[in-house]
This record gives sequence, structure tokens and C-alpha cells, in this order.
Amino acid sequence: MKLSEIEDLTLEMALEQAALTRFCPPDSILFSQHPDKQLEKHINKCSACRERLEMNISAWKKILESMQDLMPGEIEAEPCPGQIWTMDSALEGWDGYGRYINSPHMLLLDKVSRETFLAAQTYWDISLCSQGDVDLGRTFGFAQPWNVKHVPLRCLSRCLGQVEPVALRQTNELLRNSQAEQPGLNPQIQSFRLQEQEIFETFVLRAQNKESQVQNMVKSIMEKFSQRFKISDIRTLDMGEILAHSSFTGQAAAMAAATSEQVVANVVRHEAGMPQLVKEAAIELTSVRPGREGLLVAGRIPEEISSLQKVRVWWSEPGRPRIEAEQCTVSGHFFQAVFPDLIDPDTGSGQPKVLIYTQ
Amino acid sequence: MNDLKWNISELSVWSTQRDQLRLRLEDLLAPHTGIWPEDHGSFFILADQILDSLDPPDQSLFLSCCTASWLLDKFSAPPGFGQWAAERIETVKVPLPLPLPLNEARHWNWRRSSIILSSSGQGRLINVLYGVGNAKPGVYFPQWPQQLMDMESRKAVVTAWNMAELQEKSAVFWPMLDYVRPGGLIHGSSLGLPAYLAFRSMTSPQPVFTMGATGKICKTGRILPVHGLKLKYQAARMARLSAFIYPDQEGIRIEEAEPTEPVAVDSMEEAEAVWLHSVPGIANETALLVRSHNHGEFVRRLCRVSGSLIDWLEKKNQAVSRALCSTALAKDDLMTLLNQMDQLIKITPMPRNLLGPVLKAMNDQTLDKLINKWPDLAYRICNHQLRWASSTGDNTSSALWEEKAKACSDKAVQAGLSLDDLFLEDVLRMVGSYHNRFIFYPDPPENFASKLQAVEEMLVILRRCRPEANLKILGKYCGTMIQNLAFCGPEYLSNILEYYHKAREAFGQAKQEKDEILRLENYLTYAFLDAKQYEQAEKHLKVYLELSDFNQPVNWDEVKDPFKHACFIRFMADTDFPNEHYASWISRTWKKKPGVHPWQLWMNNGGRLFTPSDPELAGSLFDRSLKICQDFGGPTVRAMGLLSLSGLYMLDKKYQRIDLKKHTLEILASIGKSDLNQEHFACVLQAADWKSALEMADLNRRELFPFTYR
Repeated sequence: MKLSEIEDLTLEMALEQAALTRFCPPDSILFSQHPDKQLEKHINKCSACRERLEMNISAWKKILESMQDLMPGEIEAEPCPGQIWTMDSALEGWDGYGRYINSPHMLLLDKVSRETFLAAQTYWDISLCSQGDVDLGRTFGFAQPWNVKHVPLRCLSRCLGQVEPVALRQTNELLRNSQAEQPGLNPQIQSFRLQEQEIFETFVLRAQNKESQVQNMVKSIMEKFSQRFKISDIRTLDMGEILAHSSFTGQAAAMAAATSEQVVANVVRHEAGMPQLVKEAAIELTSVRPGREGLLVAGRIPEEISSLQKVRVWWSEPGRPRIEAEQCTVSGHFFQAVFPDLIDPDTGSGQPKVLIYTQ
Repeated sequence: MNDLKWNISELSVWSTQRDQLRLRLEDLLAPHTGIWPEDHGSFFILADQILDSLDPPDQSLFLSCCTASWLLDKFSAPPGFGQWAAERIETVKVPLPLPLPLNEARHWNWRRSSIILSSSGQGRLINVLYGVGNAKPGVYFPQWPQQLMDMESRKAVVTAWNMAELQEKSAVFWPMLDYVRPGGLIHGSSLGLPAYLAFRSMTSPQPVFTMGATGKICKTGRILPVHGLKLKYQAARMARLSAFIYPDQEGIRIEEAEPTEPVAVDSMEEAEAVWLHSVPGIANETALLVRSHNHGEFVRRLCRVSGSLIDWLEKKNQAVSRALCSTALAKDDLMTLLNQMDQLIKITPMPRNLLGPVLKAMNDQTLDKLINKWPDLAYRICNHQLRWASSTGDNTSSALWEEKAKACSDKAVQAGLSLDDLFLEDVLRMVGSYHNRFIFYPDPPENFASKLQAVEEMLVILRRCRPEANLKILGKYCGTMIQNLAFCGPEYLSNILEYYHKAREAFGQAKQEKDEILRLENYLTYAFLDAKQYEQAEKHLKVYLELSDFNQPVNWDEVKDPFKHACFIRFMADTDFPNEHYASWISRTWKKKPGVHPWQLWMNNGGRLFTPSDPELAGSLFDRSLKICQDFGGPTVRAMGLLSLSGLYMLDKKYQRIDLKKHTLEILASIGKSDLNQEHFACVLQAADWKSALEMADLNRRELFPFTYR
């Protein structure tokens, strides 16, 4: 066999594997006792899945188990550029053409807003890495600078690790002029790239749809609350932040009158993951001062608020985005919140917002 | 300032978590009188707990802070603090920087203020404890382990002490510094002005708002330029000071940013006036008034500053009365002032602290000089004085100003006095001459009746030309008639309603008459309460309070009109109307209410309301009501003290914390000596003893204190 024929064969196998990786359902669906029409449609088209169904399941499981060690593990981390993340598996599913779209991995490139990251899709099989791709090493495969999307933060699922800074830089550098279709590129790679773009596109669309569903859900919850709250704006999907910056209407508002050394805080009790009881309380601020460790906001919560669970504190001042305290310690009815990253806070015009969680 | 709320209890909570306690060390540079735990006895345990958690230099800092807080107000500190502190001071490794023994320091007078410095591109605020006492004259500075004040700054403080005329006293200048991490040297002479102002405020009874200042002072009384103004202003803002006083330096203007008002001053007198006599928001007006060399400008600004400044200027060099009598004063300027006063009088509650001193400066000598010059304005001054005397129940003043008004009325009309002003006097006279003396006749004086008839006819004529015409003065006359009749008793209810409809008709629906119309609703509420027609009272009270339902949520803090509160609580007390929300508001806020009319009535009715459910609170409310009656204004209000005394008398003995006999006899004597209607008070004045007098007062409360007088 000639070298070119070997190369062609390798490429062909890699592409077949890519199709399996991207479009074949996981075992939990493939081996389902009650296959649905989508699965039947897929099995009719996909010889690999037919073969797997005919094989011994336990043998497959053993193979899968042995492969687990080769897969990158999960890391607990806040999303930041240079990390490889999976997307929420809840977004996986059939596409209407008998293809099961599996969650791709992506390289986070830049945080573009409080809720969104710019990310490039990655693929594990380095044999499909070509011109305009960035090699990320053996563990993570390669990044696709020509396949970049804005991904909602909420749809990131697991962090698998961090790439070398040089790889992140290269990917960012290639972003501007990078196109999937390039003259002289192997037509099979060309078609792989189109498929990759389609997958990322589909996934991000699903993520955005889910995001807007969540937003609508939050808004509808907020609308329900609005009989008791005045919600000035929704800049975030963090329910806590929204609640902290909402104000009461009606009788509850009449009860809480804060003096100049006080702030009105909202008190929340969680039941089944939702804030069930909300009221206002005037919090006495005992210290608001920039110190060596950063801005300190300290205060006392009224005694009548019992079963304190936690306190969250935000700092807001005109012309500056809100920022949440990095740590807020509660002891008895006192709390101390520190904002180490807040540069030159303006205590003359700014003020803290406090949210109290009770049990 | 934003650092004055921390306290020992809070600090002790963090003492078990050293990293958290460390965050609070800077609070120890801000001593204040509220650091002590509510339970004084727990202080010693908590403080020892904190001391044990601190490193030696911070232990000294903690002791300094507690000591400074104690010196600021020894009465709010736990008894025994002095001894506790002396014992601990002996044992700490780093000595306290207080430059005199604790035993001596306790007898000095101490105040806290701040200095603001600039260095390394930023402003820095340092709290300073100023002490004045009797020792060898001179200024004492702390002894720190290292030098933290340069010679120039020490000299500036000594100059300030000299200028503040404290040379016969000794003084301490104690900056609160963390001497392990001092953050730089106190340097330069810009602390001269803040030190001078702080020393001056030591001898002033006036509470000083939290202001900052900077400026070099010299012995001629001038304030000299300093550096770093903008950085210092920024530091003042960050500390949320209400004003920042700085030398008026050519070419430098600080742009104002909330919450700190920058005030450029060009003399120490201006700076002192701002420091001692301005409240947040009027610091610049204060400086401009003091600077003003033009009498017209001076008079036009009078209503924009604080009453204490007017008092100060008047006592100092009679600046206000001199300006009012000045030949250089234009009529328009005085008219502007009187118009401003017209507006202020309409504000509810009336700004008494400002109007009082202005009217005091407009004394009878000032008026005598104005009568021939501008009789119409003199007449208006009389009306203002009459209104003031009525509102304070000062019948002697009422009589004086009535005479004055009479003396200038003819000339005033010739000079073009407006009809409203001319007729207003009768309305005021009715209150001053009759009601305030407890003289209640259903028929008004002849003068009043004839004018009432005249204005009624005037409306008829007006309506012929313009059917929708209103006549405010008629509405006022009818309102006064309602008052007059309601004081005479429920038997005049039908006449009251007749005048009510006439008044409503005369005021029309004009929005600007809303307050006048609401006032009528207030009168009707009281009239129906006196007549025990509670449903009708409730109906008018709802209109007056602009509520459709008494159970609807109301933020009572936002209801600023004390007469609305007085009316509502009277309704609650008379009808046993349950309103838990308002009752809890009363118990939360009664201590903060000002000692002026009509809060004494509000508290008395509060006492009645709480007598069955919370006699302890009822006793406190009666006590406070009595105190206001005794301290505020003239004999009219003082007589109302009988209401609170009879309320206290009916309470169980354990809630009677004052000498009822003494106070009752005092009030009876005051009524006997006054120009109040003796016949009206015969039942109490002729009672066999003080107890019978209080029993009679309780029994006859409706007749003795009718309508709005209870």
C-alpha cells in the first residue's frame, strides 16, 4: 500500500470515527428497551450502531471502562480563558435527521460579558488537525479558530483542564482571518469542518434557546414577585443578585424605613430551590471603609431575623458595574464582607446591597 | 461619617476569628460614644476577650480607642471603666500615647474632630481627640514610640489654640494613629484651621455636624492657601462628611460631588460660622451670608441659613437687626424676606428654629423704625409676630403685636397693604386674643363679624362677574368661625357645618387651596369627636389623612405633618380604634419627636391609648407630654400639662415616676398668674387640693380642653 493510500485510509477512518463521536447516541439511548422513532431512524442509517447492538453489551462496557482513564478528568474551576469545557449534556439530543448531537468540547477564549464566553470548538483526534487549526496537545486534541461562537456561561458543564498559554494565544491570533473553507484544503477535511461548524452552531442555538427559556422563567417568577417587588432591571440571571437589587412594594415597604446609617436588605428563605418568603429588613452598617484587604462592609442584622444561613453583599456605585463581595462572613447577627478586587471604591457615592438567606 | 457605628459587642464576635478581627483594626482609629455594649456589665468580659486576641501594639490601640471613647462621654461608658482601663494600661507592653494621666484627663472636656492631609497622591483623614482642661497652659501632644508629627504641624496647632482664645487653658491634640502602621507623618500647617474650629467648638453648646476643613491660619485671622485641596476633598467625600471648608484660593474651585459640600471661605469668621452654625446643604449659603457686606443681600439670604447662625450674628454684633434697620436697605429686599417667611410659615411642621430667631431680630425697636418708612411692611411684620405668638401660646406677645398692628394699620392701607394681609390680622387676633386665653364665645368680635359679612358680599359680587370665582380670605374667615364655634362645644355643630360648607364653597376646588381645605377636615374631625359622633369623625378624618381605609398600609415616617398625627391618635384614643401598626410606630418613635406643639397632645393621647395595655409606656408618654407643656412656649400650652398629670394620676403608683403634687401645683400657679381665663379654670383652681384638682381636670377634660386643645 502506498503512503498516500495509507494516509487516505487513516483520514477515512478518522472521519468515520468523527461521525460516530458527533452523531451516534450514547449507550443509555442506543440500548434502550423502548427505542423511539428517532433511534430507529438512526439505526437504519448507521451501520456502526447496528453492529454495536448486535455485539455483547458487556464487552462494550469493558472497553468503555478501560478508556475512562484516558479521558481528561473534571476540574473544579470558575470559567476563564484557556480552559477546556464540555457543554451541558442536557442540550444533547436528536436533530430531526436521525443524528444524535453529542456535547462538543470547547476552548474558552474570552469573557465577553457577565454571562457569555467566546469559545472555539475542539476535537480530540489530532489526525484531523489541519491548516488553520491549533494543536492543543495529546489530551485536548486541537482547537478550531474557524469555528467560534458566543456561548452562554450557564451552558458550560465541566472543566476538563487548561491549555498552554501559547495555544490560547495562537487561537486568538488566528481568529480574525480564519475560515473553514480554504483553498487547497483536502475536500474531506473541508467537509469535516462544515460538519463541525454545523454541530457547534446547533449546540449554541440550543444553548441560547435554553438560556432564553431560563430568562423567561426568571422573568415570569419575577413578575409573580412584582406584586411585592419593584424590579428596576434584570442585568443578570443570578436570582440572588436580582432579589438583592429589588425593592418591595405595598405594606412590606411601609414597614422598613432605613436611616442614613442603614440599608434596606431583602430577606429570602429557600424552599425547593425557590425563594418562598421574602421581606425587607433595615440593616445597620457598622463600617464601610477601604482597608488594606480591600473595601470592608460590615453590619448588624436585626435580631428578629432568625436562622441566618448566609449573607451576600454587592457594592454598587454610579457608572460602575456591580461587584459581589469575594467573601462574606457571618457570625451571630453580624456580617463582614470584603471586596479585594474593588479598585478605589467611592464610598461617597456608592452603597452596599445586602441579601439575607434564612433557613 | 461612615465609621461611627461599630461597637465592642460586634468586635468581640470577631475576636475568635483573628483574620476577621484584623479587618476591623482600622475602626479602632475611630473612637465614638456608641462603642459600649447595651449591657454595660458585659463590657469587661468582652473587652478582655478582644484584648486577648490582639497583638501587643494592637492591644494598646484598642485601649486608646476605648479610653478616647470614654473621655468623649463618660456617662455613656460602663461604670468602673476608668479603673479597668488604668489596670490594663499598666499591663500592656506598648504605652498609651495619651499625654496626661487618666485620672487627670477624666476631668477635661473632650471632643472628636478630624484633620485631612494629603501625601503620596492621596488624601487621608485622621480622627483627632481635642481636650481642654485646667493644667499648666500649653498644648500637649502624644508621646509616640517614633516621631509622627513634624514641627510645623505642632506649631499650627499651637497657633490654633492661641487664636481660639484658650491661652489660659491647657489643651491636648491627640491624633488617632496606628503607630505600628502610621501611614505617614502628620506634616505641614494645613491642620491649623481644623484645629482652630475644633477648639472653638469646645466652648459652643451647638452640636457640630461632621465636617472637614483645611487651611493655614495666621494671627491676623486670615486663612492662607494650602496644597492638595482636591485630594483632601476626595478624602472628605469618602468619609461622607457633610461639608469641606477650604481657603478661597484664586483659580481653585472644587466641583461639588455628593455627599460633601465644598465651601470656600476667606476668613476665620466665615469658617467658624459654617462650622458651628450650618446644617448639611446650606454651608455655602452660610459662608456667603457672613461674607455679605451689602445689607440688601444679607437680608435676602436670612431665610436660607440656620436659626442658630442668626442668633449668633445677632448676639455677636446685632448684625440682623442692624441690617433690617439700615437706611441702605431697599423695600424690595425686606419684602423678599417677608415673602420667604410667608412661605416658611406654610411649611408643616413650621421651621421654628429658623423663624424664631428671625422674628426675634425683628423686635419692636426695629418695627418702630419701619412704621413710618414702610408701614405696609411693618404691618406684615406684626402679622408674622402675631402668628408666631399664637403658635407658641405667648399671650403677652400677642397683645403687644396686636397693639403695634393697630398703630400702623391706617398708614399700611394707605401704603397699599393687600386685602389679604389686612384681613389676616383678624383671623390671627381671634386665636391670639381669645382662644389662646381659653376665652370661648360663640359670637365673634364685632370687627371680625363685620369683615366676615363684607367678604361674603364680596364673593357675591365677584360671582356675578365670574361665576367660578373663589375668595380665599372668606374661606379663612369661615375656618376661623368653625374653630371658634367648635371651641364653644358640640351644641354649635349645625353652625359649624354651615360654615364648613361656606368655606368649601369659598375655597373652590383650586389645587393650591388643598391645605386649607384639609385643615377644615381636621376641624370637623375634632368637632365630631367632641360631639361623640364617631362615624362622622372617622369620615372627615379619612379625608384629612387622605386615606380610604385606616387599615391600608401607611409609612407613618413619611407623614411629616404633626397635626395629622395628633388628630389620628386623638381619634384612636377616643374611639379605642385598634391599629396595631400605628401603635407599634408610636412605641418606636415617641422619643424622637420634637418638644413642640402639638406633640404634647399626641403624647398625652398616646398615654391614654396605652394605659390599659402598656401602662409603663403610657407613663413615659404622659411624662414626656408634661415636659413639653412645661418647656414649650407660653401659658396656653403649659396649662395642657394638666391633661398629662391627670393621666399619670390615674395610673398605678409604680408608673408615676415624677412628683405629681409638685408639678400640679406649679401648673396651677402658672395658670393663676397668667392672663388665661380664670373663670374657665375655676374648677381646678378652686379644688381643695392637688389631687382634687387632677380629678376635676380628668372629669372636665372635654370642657377644659375642648376641640384641638386635647
